[in-house]
Amino acid sequence: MFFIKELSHTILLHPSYFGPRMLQYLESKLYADVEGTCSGQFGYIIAVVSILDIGKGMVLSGSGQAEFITRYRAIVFKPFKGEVVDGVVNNVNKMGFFADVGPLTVFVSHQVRHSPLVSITSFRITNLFLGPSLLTASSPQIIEKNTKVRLKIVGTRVDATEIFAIGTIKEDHLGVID
Amino acid sequence: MTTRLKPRSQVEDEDASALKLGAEFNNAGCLLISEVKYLLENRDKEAPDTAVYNKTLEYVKTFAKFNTTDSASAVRETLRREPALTQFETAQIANLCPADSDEAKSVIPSLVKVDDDRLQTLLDEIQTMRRFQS
Repeated sequence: MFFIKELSHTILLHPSYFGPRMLQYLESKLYADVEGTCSGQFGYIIAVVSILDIGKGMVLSGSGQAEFITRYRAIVFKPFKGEVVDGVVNNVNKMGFFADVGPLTVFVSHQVRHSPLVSITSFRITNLFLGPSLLTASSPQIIEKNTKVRLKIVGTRVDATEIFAIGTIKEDHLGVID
Repeated sequence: MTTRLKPRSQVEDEDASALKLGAEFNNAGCLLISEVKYLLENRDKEAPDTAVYNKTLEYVKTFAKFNTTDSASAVRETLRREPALTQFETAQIANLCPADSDEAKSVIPSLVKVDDDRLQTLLDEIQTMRRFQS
Protein backbone atom coordinates (compact mmCIF):
# COMPACT_ATOMS: atom_id res chain seq x y z
CA MET A 1 0.00 0.00 0.00
CA PHE A 2 1.17 3.51 -0.80
CA PHE A 3 0.89 6.08 1.97
CA ILE A 4 1.53 9.78 2.34
CA LYS A 5 3.39 10.31 5.56
CA GLU A 6 5.11 13.00 7.58
CA LEU A 7 8.65 12.04 8.42
CA SER A 8 11.70 13.74 9.81
CA HIS A 9 15.34 13.55 8.93
CA THR A 10 18.41 14.93 10.65
CA ILE A 11 21.04 16.64 8.54
CA LEU A 12 24.48 17.55 9.84
CA LEU A 13 25.91 20.49 7.97
CA HIS A 14 29.59 21.36 7.81
CA PRO A 15 30.40 25.01 8.58
CA SER A 16 31.79 25.55 5.07
CA TYR A 17 28.21 25.47 3.77
CA PHE A 18 26.95 28.22 6.09
CA GLY A 19 26.06 31.06 3.76
CA PRO A 20 23.54 32.38 1.27
CA ARG A 21 22.95 29.10 -0.56
CA MET A 22 22.58 27.04 2.57
CA LEU A 23 18.83 26.42 2.26
CA GLN A 24 19.10 25.16 -1.28
CA TYR A 25 21.91 22.91 -0.25
CA LEU A 26 19.85 21.54 2.65
CA GLU A 27 16.92 20.80 0.37
CA SER A 28 18.94 18.94 -2.19
CA LYS A 29 20.74 17.09 0.57
CA LEU A 30 17.39 15.97 2.01
CA TYR A 31 16.20 14.70 -1.37
CA ALA A 32 19.45 12.87 -1.97
CA ASP A 33 19.53 11.36 1.52
CA VAL A 34 16.03 9.96 1.83
CA GLU A 35 14.57 9.28 -1.62
CA GLY A 36 14.93 5.65 -2.62
CA THR A 37 15.85 4.43 0.84
CA CYS A 38 14.08 1.70 2.73
CA SER A 39 13.62 1.16 6.43
CA GLY A 40 11.77 -1.55 8.26
CA GLN A 41 9.67 0.95 10.14
CA PHE A 42 8.40 3.07 7.26
CA GLY A 43 8.98 0.90 4.21
CA TYR A 44 10.32 2.37 0.98
CA ILE A 45 10.52 6.18 0.78
CA ILE A 46 9.75 6.77 -2.87
CA ALA A 47 9.61 10.52 -3.26
CA VAL A 48 9.49 13.65 -1.11
CA VAL A 49 6.32 15.59 -1.88
CA SER A 50 6.94 18.71 0.17
CA ILE A 51 9.20 20.03 2.88
CA LEU A 52 7.21 21.18 5.89
CA ASP A 53 9.99 22.65 7.97
CA ILE A 54 13.67 22.73 7.24
CA GLY A 55 14.46 23.14 10.93
CA LYS A 56 16.49 25.54 13.00
CA GLY A 57 20.15 24.80 12.75
CA MET A 58 21.77 24.05 16.08
CA VAL A 59 25.52 24.31 16.13
CA LEU A 60 26.90 21.33 17.98
CA SER A 61 29.49 22.16 20.53
CA GLY A 62 32.80 20.51 19.81
CA SER A 63 32.51 19.86 16.11
CA GLY A 64 31.09 23.13 14.81
CA GLN A 65 28.62 21.32 12.59
CA ALA A 66 25.02 22.44 12.54
CA GLU A 67 22.22 19.98 13.10
CA PHE A 68 18.97 20.51 11.20
CA ILE A 69 15.94 18.40 12.01
CA THR A 70 13.82 18.65 8.87
CA ARG A 71 10.22 17.58 8.63
CA TYR A 72 8.89 16.58 5.24
CA ARG A 73 5.99 14.77 3.63
CA ALA A 74 6.75 11.79 1.44
CA ILE A 75 5.16 8.98 -0.56
CA VAL A 76 6.07 5.71 1.12
CA PHE A 77 5.35 2.15 0.14
CA LYS A 78 4.96 -0.53 2.77
CA PRO A 79 3.73 -4.09 2.22
CA PHE A 80 1.58 -5.76 4.86
CA LYS A 81 0.88 -9.39 5.58
CA GLY A 82 -2.57 -10.32 4.30
CA GLU A 83 -2.64 -7.54 1.71
CA VAL A 84 -3.68 -8.37 -1.88
CA VAL A 85 -1.61 -6.62 -4.55
CA ASP A 86 -1.06 -6.74 -8.29
CA GLY A 87 2.41 -7.40 -9.65
CA VAL A 88 4.42 -8.16 -12.76
CA VAL A 89 6.36 -11.43 -12.99
CA ASN A 90 10.04 -10.77 -13.56
CA ASN A 91 11.63 -14.17 -13.08
CA VAL A 92 10.43 -17.77 -13.16
CA ASN A 93 12.31 -20.80 -11.89
CA LYS A 94 11.69 -24.32 -10.71
CA MET A 95 10.77 -23.21 -7.22
CA GLY A 96 8.16 -20.64 -8.18
CA PHE A 97 8.34 -17.09 -9.46
CA PHE A 98 9.32 -13.56 -8.45
CA ALA A 99 6.92 -10.69 -9.02
CA ASP A 100 7.68 -6.97 -8.87
CA VAL A 101 5.24 -4.91 -6.83
CA GLY A 102 6.65 -1.43 -7.19
CA PRO A 103 10.03 -1.37 -5.45
CA LEU A 104 9.31 -4.67 -3.71
CA THR A 105 10.02 -8.15 -5.02
CA VAL A 106 7.63 -10.88 -3.87
CA PHE A 107 8.48 -14.55 -4.15
CA VAL A 108 5.64 -16.96 -4.81
CA SER A 109 6.50 -20.60 -4.30
CA HIS A 110 4.51 -23.41 -5.80
CA GLN A 111 5.74 -25.88 -3.21
CA VAL A 112 3.32 -24.85 -0.51
CA ARG A 113 -0.05 -26.32 -1.22
CA HIS A 114 -2.77 -25.14 1.15
CA SER A 115 -5.47 -25.83 -1.39
CA PRO A 116 -5.17 -27.87 -4.57
CA LEU A 117 -7.35 -25.34 -6.32
CA VAL A 118 -4.67 -23.71 -8.39
CA SER A 119 -1.57 -25.77 -7.90
CA ILE A 120 1.11 -25.25 -10.46
CA THR A 121 1.51 -28.48 -12.36
CA SER A 122 4.39 -28.13 -14.70
CA PHE A 123 7.53 -26.21 -15.30
CA ARG A 124 8.50 -25.91 -18.91
CA ILE A 125 10.23 -23.79 -21.43
CA THR A 126 7.70 -22.48 -23.89
CA ASN A 127 9.16 -19.28 -25.08
CA LEU A 128 12.79 -18.75 -25.94
CA PHE A 129 12.56 -15.02 -25.43
CA LEU A 130 10.65 -14.97 -22.21
CA GLY A 131 12.34 -18.00 -20.66
CA PRO A 132 10.66 -20.64 -18.55
CA SER A 133 7.01 -20.55 -17.59
CA LEU A 134 4.75 -22.23 -15.11
CA LEU A 135 1.40 -23.80 -15.87
CA THR A 136 -1.40 -23.80 -13.33
CA ALA A 137 -3.84 -26.70 -13.03
CA SER A 138 -7.35 -25.37 -13.20
CA SER A 139 -8.21 -23.12 -16.14
CA PRO A 140 -4.75 -23.27 -17.70
CA GLN A 141 -2.93 -20.09 -16.83
CA ILE A 142 0.58 -19.62 -18.06
CA ILE A 143 2.92 -17.68 -15.84
CA GLU A 144 6.00 -16.31 -17.56
CA LYS A 145 8.05 -13.13 -17.53
CA ASN A 146 5.86 -9.99 -17.73
CA THR A 147 2.64 -11.81 -16.82
CA LYS A 148 0.48 -9.71 -14.53
CA VAL A 149 -0.60 -11.53 -11.40
CA ARG A 150 -2.77 -10.72 -8.42
CA LEU A 151 -1.24 -12.15 -5.28
CA LYS A 152 -1.63 -12.08 -1.54
CA ILE A 153 1.32 -11.27 0.68
CA VAL A 154 1.61 -13.99 3.32
CA GLY A 155 4.74 -12.82 5.06
CA THR A 156 7.35 -10.10 5.11
CA ARG A 157 10.85 -10.09 6.45
CA VAL A 158 12.30 -6.72 7.28
CA ASP A 159 15.98 -5.96 7.12
CA ALA A 160 17.62 -2.68 8.00
CA THR A 161 17.77 -1.68 4.36
CA GLU A 162 15.43 -4.01 2.51
CA ILE A 163 12.06 -5.75 2.72
CA PHE A 164 11.50 -9.27 1.45
CA ALA A 165 8.04 -10.70 0.95
CA ILE A 166 6.54 -14.03 0.06
CA GLY A 167 3.14 -14.39 -1.49
CA THR A 168 0.59 -16.89 -2.69
CA ILE A 169 -1.77 -17.12 -5.65
CA LYS A 170 -3.59 -20.17 -4.34
CA GLU A 171 -6.80 -18.57 -3.22
CA ASP A 172 -10.03 -17.48 -4.83
CA HIS A 173 -9.75 -14.45 -7.11
CA LEU A 174 -5.96 -14.56 -7.16
CA GLY A 175 -3.75 -15.55 -10.06
CA VAL A 176 -3.14 -14.28 -13.57
CA ILE A 177 -4.97 -11.09 -14.52
CA ASP A 178 -5.20 -9.48 -17.94
CA MET B 1 9.85 -7.53 48.06
CA THR B 2 10.88 -8.50 44.60
CA THR B 3 10.02 -6.18 41.83
CA ARG B 4 8.37 -7.94 38.98
CA LEU B 5 9.60 -7.28 35.51
CA LYS B 6 7.12 -5.28 33.54
CA PRO B 7 5.84 -7.26 30.58
CA ARG B 8 7.62 -5.96 27.55
CA SER B 9 5.33 -3.83 25.46
CA GLN B 10 4.38 -6.23 22.78
CA VAL B 11 4.94 -5.19 19.20
CA GLU B 12 1.60 -5.23 17.46
CA ASP B 13 1.38 -7.97 14.89
CA GLU B 14 0.76 -6.53 11.45
CA ASP B 15 -2.07 -8.09 9.51
CA ALA B 16 -3.81 -6.22 6.72
CA SER B 17 -6.74 -8.66 6.63
CA ALA B 18 -7.63 -7.55 10.17
CA LEU B 19 -6.71 -3.91 9.44
CA LYS B 20 -3.73 -3.98 11.80
CA LEU B 21 -1.07 -1.90 10.14
CA GLY B 22 1.16 -1.19 13.11
CA ALA B 23 1.46 1.98 15.18
CA GLU B 24 3.02 4.06 12.40
CA PHE B 25 0.45 3.35 9.73
CA ASN B 26 -2.89 2.82 11.48
CA ASN B 27 -3.83 6.45 10.95
CA ALA B 28 -1.68 7.29 7.95
CA GLY B 29 -3.25 8.54 4.74
CA CYS B 30 -3.43 5.88 2.04
CA LEU B 31 -2.86 6.78 -1.59
CA LEU B 32 -4.48 5.19 -4.62
CA ILE B 33 -2.09 3.95 -7.29
CA SER B 34 -3.65 6.52 -9.62
CA GLU B 35 -2.82 9.31 -7.17
CA VAL B 36 0.77 8.13 -6.81
CA LYS B 37 1.04 8.21 -10.58
CA TYR B 38 -0.24 11.78 -10.69
CA LEU B 39 2.12 12.90 -7.90
CA LEU B 40 5.17 11.30 -9.49
CA GLU B 41 4.43 12.60 -12.97
CA ASN B 42 3.74 16.16 -11.82
CA ARG B 43 6.73 16.79 -9.63
CA ASP B 44 8.16 20.26 -10.00
CA LYS B 45 11.72 19.09 -9.56
CA GLU B 46 13.52 16.55 -11.69
CA ALA B 47 13.02 12.88 -10.97
CA PRO B 48 15.66 11.18 -8.85
CA ASP B 49 17.44 8.37 -10.63
CA THR B 50 17.02 5.65 -8.03
CA ALA B 51 15.98 2.06 -8.64
CA VAL B 52 13.13 2.42 -6.14
CA TYR B 53 11.76 5.49 -7.94
CA ASN B 54 12.00 4.03 -11.43
CA LYS B 55 10.44 0.69 -10.50
CA THR B 56 7.60 2.46 -8.72
CA LEU B 57 6.94 4.74 -11.68
CA GLU B 58 6.76 1.76 -14.00
CA TYR B 59 4.49 -0.08 -11.58
CA VAL B 60 2.02 2.78 -11.15
CA LYS B 61 1.88 3.32 -14.91
CA THR B 62 1.00 -0.34 -15.37
CA PHE B 63 -1.62 -0.61 -12.65
CA ALA B 64 -3.23 2.83 -12.39
CA LYS B 65 -6.94 2.21 -12.90
CA PHE B 66 -7.99 5.85 -13.28
CA ASN B 67 -5.94 8.08 -15.53
CA THR B 68 -7.30 11.48 -14.58
CA THR B 69 -7.35 13.18 -11.20
CA ASP B 70 -11.05 13.85 -11.71
CA SER B 71 -11.97 10.19 -11.95
CA ALA B 72 -9.71 9.29 -9.03
CA SER B 73 -11.32 11.88 -6.79
CA ALA B 74 -14.79 10.85 -7.99
CA VAL B 75 -14.02 7.32 -6.82
CA ARG B 76 -12.91 8.63 -3.43
CA GLU B 77 -16.10 10.66 -3.22
CA THR B 78 -18.22 7.59 -3.98
CA LEU B 79 -16.47 5.47 -1.39
CA ARG B 80 -16.78 8.19 1.23
CA ARG B 81 -20.54 7.63 1.20
CA GLU B 82 -19.97 4.35 3.02
CA PRO B 83 -18.82 5.54 6.47
CA ALA B 84 -17.69 2.10 7.65
CA LEU B 85 -14.81 2.01 5.19
CA THR B 86 -11.32 2.83 6.48
CA GLN B 87 -8.65 4.59 4.43
CA PHE B 88 -6.95 1.29 3.76
CA GLU B 89 -10.12 -0.39 2.50
CA THR B 90 -10.99 2.58 0.31
CA ALA B 91 -7.59 2.45 -1.35
CA GLN B 92 -7.69 -1.33 -1.76
CA ILE B 93 -11.12 -1.21 -3.44
CA ALA B 94 -9.98 1.52 -5.82
CA ASN B 95 -6.67 -0.22 -6.58
CA LEU B 96 -8.03 -3.69 -7.17
CA CYS B 97 -11.44 -2.75 -8.62
CA PRO B 98 -13.21 -6.01 -7.69
CA ALA B 99 -16.23 -6.75 -9.89
CA ASP B 100 -18.65 -8.10 -7.29
CA SER B 101 -19.05 -8.09 -3.53
CA ASP B 102 -17.98 -11.72 -3.32
CA GLU B 103 -14.62 -10.97 -4.93
CA ALA B 104 -14.23 -7.81 -2.86
CA LYS B 105 -14.72 -9.68 0.41
CA SER B 106 -12.30 -12.37 -0.66
CA VAL B 107 -9.44 -10.00 -1.56
CA ILE B 108 -10.17 -7.54 1.27
CA PRO B 109 -11.37 -9.77 4.16
CA SER B 110 -12.10 -6.87 6.52
CA LEU B 111 -15.05 -5.88 4.28
CA VAL B 112 -17.27 -8.53 5.94
CA LYS B 113 -18.76 -5.73 8.03
CA VAL B 114 -20.30 -4.10 4.95
CA ASP B 115 -23.68 -5.23 3.67
CA ASP B 116 -23.49 -7.16 0.37
CA ASP B 117 -26.03 -5.08 -1.51
CA ARG B 118 -24.57 -1.74 -0.50
CA LEU B 119 -21.08 -2.91 -1.39
CA GLN B 120 -22.31 -4.16 -4.74
CA THR B 121 -23.86 -0.77 -5.54
CA LEU B 122 -20.55 0.96 -4.78
CA LEU B 123 -18.58 -1.52 -6.89
CA ASP B 124 -20.96 -1.14 -9.81
CA GLU B 125 -20.60 2.62 -9.68
CA ILE B 126 -16.82 2.34 -9.69
CA GLN B 127 -16.88 -0.05 -12.63
CA THR B 128 -19.03 2.43 -14.55
CA MET B 129 -16.64 5.28 -13.75
CA ARG B 130 -13.73 3.19 -14.95
CA ARG B 131 -15.46 2.41 -18.20
CA PHE B 132 -16.48 5.96 -18.97
CA GLN B 133 -13.42 7.93 -17.95
CA SER B 134 -12.13 10.10 -20.71
